[in-house]
Amino acid sequence: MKDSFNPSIEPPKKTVTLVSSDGYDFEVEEEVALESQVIKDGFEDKAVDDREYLLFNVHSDTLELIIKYCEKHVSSRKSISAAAASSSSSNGEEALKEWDEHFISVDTNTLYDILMAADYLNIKSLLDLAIQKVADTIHGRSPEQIRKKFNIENDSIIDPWASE
Amino acid sequence: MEKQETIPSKNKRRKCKVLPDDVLMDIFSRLPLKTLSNSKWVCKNWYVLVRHPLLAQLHFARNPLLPCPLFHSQHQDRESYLIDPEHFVNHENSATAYHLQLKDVKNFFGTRYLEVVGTVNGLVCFSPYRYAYQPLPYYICNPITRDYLIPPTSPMVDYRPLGNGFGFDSLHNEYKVIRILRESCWKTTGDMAAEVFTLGSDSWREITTNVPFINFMEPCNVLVNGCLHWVAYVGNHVGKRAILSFNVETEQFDVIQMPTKEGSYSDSYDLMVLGGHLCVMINNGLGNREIQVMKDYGVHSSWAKKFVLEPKAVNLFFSWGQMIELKNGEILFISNSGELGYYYHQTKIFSIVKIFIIKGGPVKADLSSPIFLTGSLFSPNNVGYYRRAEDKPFLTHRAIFSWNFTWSVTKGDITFAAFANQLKLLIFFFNVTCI
Repeated sequence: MKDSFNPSIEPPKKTVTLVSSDGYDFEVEEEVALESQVIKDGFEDKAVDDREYLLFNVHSDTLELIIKYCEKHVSSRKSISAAAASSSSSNGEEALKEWDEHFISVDTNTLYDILMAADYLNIKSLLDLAIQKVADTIHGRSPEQIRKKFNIENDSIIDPWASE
Repeated sequence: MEKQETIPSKNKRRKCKVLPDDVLMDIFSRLPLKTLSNSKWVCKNWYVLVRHPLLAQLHFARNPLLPCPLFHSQHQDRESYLIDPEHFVNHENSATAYHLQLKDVKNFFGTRYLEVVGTVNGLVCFSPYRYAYQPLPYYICNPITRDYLIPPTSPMVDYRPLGNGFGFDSLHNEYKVIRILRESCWKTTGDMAAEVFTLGSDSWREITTNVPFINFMEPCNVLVNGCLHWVAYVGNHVGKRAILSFNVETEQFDVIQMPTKEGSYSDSYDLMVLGGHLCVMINNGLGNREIQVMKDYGVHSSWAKKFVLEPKAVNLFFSWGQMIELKNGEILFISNSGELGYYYHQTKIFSIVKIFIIKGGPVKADLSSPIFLTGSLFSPNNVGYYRRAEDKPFLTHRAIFSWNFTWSVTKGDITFAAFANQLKLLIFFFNVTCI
C-alpha cells in the first residue's frame, strides 16, 4: 500500500520468455526482446497475455549471447539519449562501438550462429555487425584459406587464372 | 531442464555451413572487387552469386564510383592498362596499373588498334580506330569481370562515321552507344545521320531528330549532366568550333558555343569535367592553358575562367592533357606523352606520379594511354536488368530465382547466356535444398 504511493519505485517490468531450440527458458525484459523485429511483429499480432516465444532455430548458447547484445544496446541507447538530453558530452556511441567490436570477436562457429540467429530474429544492427565481421574475415584471403576458415566444401570449381 | 548429452555435438551439427543467399550477397557487397574476383572461386554457390546482376546493383549502391575522365587513346590489345583512380584520392606518389586482358578481342579485331569510346559505371566501350571507313563492331566490356558484348553491325554502311560516344541515362538505367555519321565523306554538304544502340536491345536505331551539320569531330567526349559532349566543327565553316551535345535520355542534339571567340586555327580545345561542371581547356599554341568552366549548364553567360596552367610547371607544350579534380581543388593531370602527376595550381607545382605495372612483378611503366576506371560488377550483357533503381526486388531466394527466370523469357537473344547462368542457379538451389 505504501509502495504504490512512492513514485521512486517503478512498477515491475514486463518480461517475455524466450525458449531456445534445446528447451531452455530465458526470461528477458520486454524492451530487450523487442530489439528483434520478428518478436516485435509477433508481439503486435498476438494476444497480450501470451508471452512465450519458441525460437526453434536458436541454440541456448547463442541465445545467451544475443540477449547480452540486446540488453547492452537497450541500456546504452538510454544512457546516450540521457546524455544528449542533458547536453553533456559523452563518448557513449564510441564505447558501444568498441563493445560491439569486442562482442563480435568470436570464433567462426559462434559467428555463424550469431549471424543466423540475427537473421532469423531480424535484429538489424546485430546482423549488420556480423555480416561486416564475415566480410572482414574474407577480405584478403585466398579461396583455399576461405574454404578452410568457413569449412566450405570445395565443389571442384577451378580458377582458370590461379596459375597466373 | 537438464542439458542432455545426446544432443549432437557442436561440430557435428555445423558440418555444413550454408549462409542464406541474401546474407551472402550482403557480405559480398561490402568486399572490394579484387577480393571478390578471388573469392568467387571458393565454391560454385559463391561463383554464381558473385556473378549475379543483383550483386552488381548492391555493390554499386554501396560503393559509389569515383568520377573518371575519359582519355581518348588507342590501345593495342597487349598494351592496355587500367588504373584505379582510388590511388589518387590520398595523393599517393605511385599508382599501380593493371595489364588489361580483353577476352576474344583478337577474334573480332585482329591486330587493329582499339580506341576507348567511353567509360560508364565500370563498363568500357572500345571501337576500332576511327579512320576505318567500314562499319566495324564495337566491343563493350567490364574489364574486371571480363564479360563482354559485341553490338550488331550497323546497317548504315554507306555513311562515314564522324564520331561516337558511350553514354548512360540514369533515369531509365540505359546504356547507349551513339554514332554520328555523314552520308558523303568528301563533300562539305551531305545528309547527317545518327544512330543509337541501347545495351539490351538487338539492333541499332536511327535517330530521327535533326542532327546539326558537322564537318569534323574530335574523338574525345565527356559525359556531363546526362549529355555527351564533343568538340566539333559545326556548320559549313571549317574553322568554327563548338561543343556538340547529345542528351542520352531524350536523344536530342544541341550546340553549345565556346566560351571565347575563335582565335587561330592552331588553338586546341579539350573537354573535361571538373566538379561536375563542363569545362574546356583552351590551348593557344604558346603553352598557356586556360580552363573555362560552365557554372550553370547550358547558360552561355556562365562560362568563367577557373585558372591558367603554367607551361613551365607542366611540360606539355604541344600535347593535350586531361585532368581529374581531386578533393581540396587539386587536380591530377595526365598528358598524352605519358606524364601523370598532381598539379597544385596555387603553388603551380607539378609532381609526377610513378606508375607500376602488375605483370609478373612491379615494373616501372611507360604509360602513354592508361584507362582510368573504378570497377563495378555490372555486366554489359544484363545492364538492362533493372530498368529503374526503385525496381529493386525484395532480396529473397525466391525473388532472385523467379526474377532471373522472367527476365530470360521476356528478353531477346542475349537471354541465352542469361539462361545458362540461370541453369547454374537452378542447380545451385537444388544443392542448397538437398543439404
